[in-house]
Amino acid sequence: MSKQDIVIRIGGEGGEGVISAGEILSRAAARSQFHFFTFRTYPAEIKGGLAMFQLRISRRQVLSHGSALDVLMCFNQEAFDNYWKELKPDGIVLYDPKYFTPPKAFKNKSIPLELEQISLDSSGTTRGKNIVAVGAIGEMIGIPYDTSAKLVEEIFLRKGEKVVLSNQKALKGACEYSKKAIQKIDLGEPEMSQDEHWLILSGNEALALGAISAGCRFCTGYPITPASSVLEFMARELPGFGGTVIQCEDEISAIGACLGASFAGAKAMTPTSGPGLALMTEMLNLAFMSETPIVVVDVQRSGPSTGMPTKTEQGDLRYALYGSPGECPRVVIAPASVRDCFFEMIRAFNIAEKYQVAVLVLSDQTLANRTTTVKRFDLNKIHIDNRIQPSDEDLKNDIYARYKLTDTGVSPMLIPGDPRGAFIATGLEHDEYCTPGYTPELHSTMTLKRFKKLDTLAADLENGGSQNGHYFMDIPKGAKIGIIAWGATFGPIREALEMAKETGVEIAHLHPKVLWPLPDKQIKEFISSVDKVIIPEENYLGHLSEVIKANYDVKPIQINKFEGIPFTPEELFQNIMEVG
Amino acid sequence: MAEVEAVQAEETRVDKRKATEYKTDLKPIWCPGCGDFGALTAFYNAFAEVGIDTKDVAIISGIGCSGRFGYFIKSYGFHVVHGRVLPIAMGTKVANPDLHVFGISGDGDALAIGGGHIPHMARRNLKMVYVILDNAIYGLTKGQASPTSPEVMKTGTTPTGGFEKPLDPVLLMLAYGATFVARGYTAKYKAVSDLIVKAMSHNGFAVIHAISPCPVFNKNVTFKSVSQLVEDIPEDHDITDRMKAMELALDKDKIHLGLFYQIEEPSLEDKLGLQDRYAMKIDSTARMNDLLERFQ
Repeated sequence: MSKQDIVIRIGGEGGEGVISAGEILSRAAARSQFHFFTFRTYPAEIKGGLAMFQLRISRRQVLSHGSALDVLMCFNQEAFDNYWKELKPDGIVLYDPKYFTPPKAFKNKSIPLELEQISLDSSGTTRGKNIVAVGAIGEMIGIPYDTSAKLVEEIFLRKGEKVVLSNQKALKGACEYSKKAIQKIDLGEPEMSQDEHWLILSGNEALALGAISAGCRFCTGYPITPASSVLEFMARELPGFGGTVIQCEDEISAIGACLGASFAGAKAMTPTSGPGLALMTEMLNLAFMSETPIVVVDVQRSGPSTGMPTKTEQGDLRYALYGSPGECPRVVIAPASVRDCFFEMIRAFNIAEKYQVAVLVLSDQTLANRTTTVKRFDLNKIHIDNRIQPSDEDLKNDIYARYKLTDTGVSPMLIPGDPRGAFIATGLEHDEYCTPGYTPELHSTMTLKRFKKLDTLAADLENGGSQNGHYFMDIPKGAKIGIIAWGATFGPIREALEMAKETGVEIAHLHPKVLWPLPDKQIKEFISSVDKVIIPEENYLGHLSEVIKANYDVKPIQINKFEGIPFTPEELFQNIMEVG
Repeated sequence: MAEVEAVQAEETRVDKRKATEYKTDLKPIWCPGCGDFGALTAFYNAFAEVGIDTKDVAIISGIGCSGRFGYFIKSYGFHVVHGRVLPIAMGTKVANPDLHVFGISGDGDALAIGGGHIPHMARRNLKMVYVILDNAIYGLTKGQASPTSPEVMKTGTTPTGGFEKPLDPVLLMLAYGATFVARGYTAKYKAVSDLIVKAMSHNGFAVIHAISPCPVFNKNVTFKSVSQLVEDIPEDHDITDRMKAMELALDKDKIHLGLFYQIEEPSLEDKLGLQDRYAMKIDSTARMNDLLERFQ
């Protein structure tokens, strides 16, 4: 059987190796010149509950976790009961007959795979059951035994040679069984060349790597799902780069410490999720008023309130844009892919530092936790912007104007410790020299100054240069329908539009990555080039839709999914064809 | 030997500055007779005594009458939001350990809205000086009950008298494990100045509770009432004895002034090894390339 890509889902009790099997399989696939894209859901329970790991594997790059399943590996009955409906008509079920057997009425092909027995027979212990799953599925799609065996060695070496050997035996046993019992699926020849370097990254890892590469050297946070892994990553790695990470007593303290560090000259960020962002609001206002650069990452989860911490939602855009007392615009950036997580973080720091503003980066639970193959970043091509410091000319009269009125709105920023001057950053309305004042003239002048920075940024984005790539736009000839969307829905949309193209329908697509300031020129061009605008979002209200309606003369058709799980390309394709 | 001492003395004298050098041109907005004037004078004097360079000072102040402090001292400063002096001071100090970081809060800023940060700052033992200017009232909002207001006190929000017990900042700090706990009274600004000088040389979180009466809105806690109760901590008090310090703080008849407690423990900077960390020469690109290898 040959296919372009296959979707494999492994389901079972949390803690029995479902996730580790998926992780090992994906790494083995990448080393065998496959591209992959993972999707996982976590049970809310610490241990137990249904855990699921989905892996889409292909020889070409895949942009989403796929739609229906080609292979469903069930560790138990619950996994089968929950997931069998998502199988393709020709999708197969692998099951461990020790735990359950699909009912006779079940039409799809079902193949027994005795996870525990094979492990026991080949290695003398049942502990290698997850490795048996890796071996059997790997063999089925053409991952060489040697590649998996090498990986098993790397993973288990710290547990001793005996454990390595035992797992390798289980792997071998599984491969041999698979050869006899499971039909191979041919995914074609590799497109990835062997000398190309591909990374296996999750969104949260890419965010953290991007932050460090951008020069972030101070990071604080308060543990919160699904952002904690960014904080943990930084805690592990940042000290090696000469930076500091502190877990704070709450999110207010976390963002406060970042503002203090930024005031003292460091590039600072704090990762959080919706409930944490809510606590940070007042500090974001202080950042705006005192013109202190800062980056806040919001890995969105299903809300409101505690909501569904382990599920996804694009529910924080309105809050990111507008959630502030007083007039406090923020720069909002939403990476659309794991690769974007790296580069958009660098953009976020560059903007924060260059324009002395708070930048909010909106990721989400699925983007955070998915892993995928990403072409290795060329660090030599990264452009870094730093805040402007005053020249000696600026300081010649012995009085430093921290909030100097300039053509760009951006004022040179002195770093404490610099003997050339002093200033007091402040959240009170103030004049150029930081002196508090409440006169009508002063407040209007300084309000204009602060807003001018955003105009400058919008113009700089428009003019490209180092800031380019802040949107994706594709308007194929003859396209009558146009999709505008944001964030992690990018991949499923691209694949849905591929499906439409195969049926002869061309659809345009605009995907701003910087959501504020909006790519005004492109949105106007896009809207005028199509008859209908569709905005699919993983939320109930349609946040981007509201923004577009408020700012442009268009009535978008909304497609909203608010189930805590992401769009699949298939459902998007069907929805778009229906409403379009 | 005497010669060496004479030279050192000469150098110290040269380093010393005039208190007025630290004054800005801004006139304090405080009401006449405000206790905070005494605290400000104490700061000018302490800075002159130490001979500190203004570029090395960062004053982080919160909201309330005390929040304006930073505008009147020539130095770097950050006038922040209500109750968040300590987190911002922490970020400032950790990012640049060469700075002398001072936090200034009122009783509301420190103990009501910002009360959640104090135990954690005590746990961290960051090297900074935190001064709580306590007038037992919300002055800037014109007279509401604060966490240190006497329980019976009638205020704008407790028109028939309060119903919550007052907090004692000194007792709290001792309980939380702050490594330097002192109390001053801004009417005795020289003593406050001495405490600030001592606090500046402390390697850790140094807290000074400064009683600073509000002559306008607080009719219960006044210069007159406080003056009758204050008494210097006995000279033979062992500042490393935490239980004894608590006993002094719990004394119902007297308000003790001076250094209650001081103990040497590694500061946050020591624990994080910031000095070594910032002295490292790091090729970030090479290091990042190494890190990326792990994801292949």
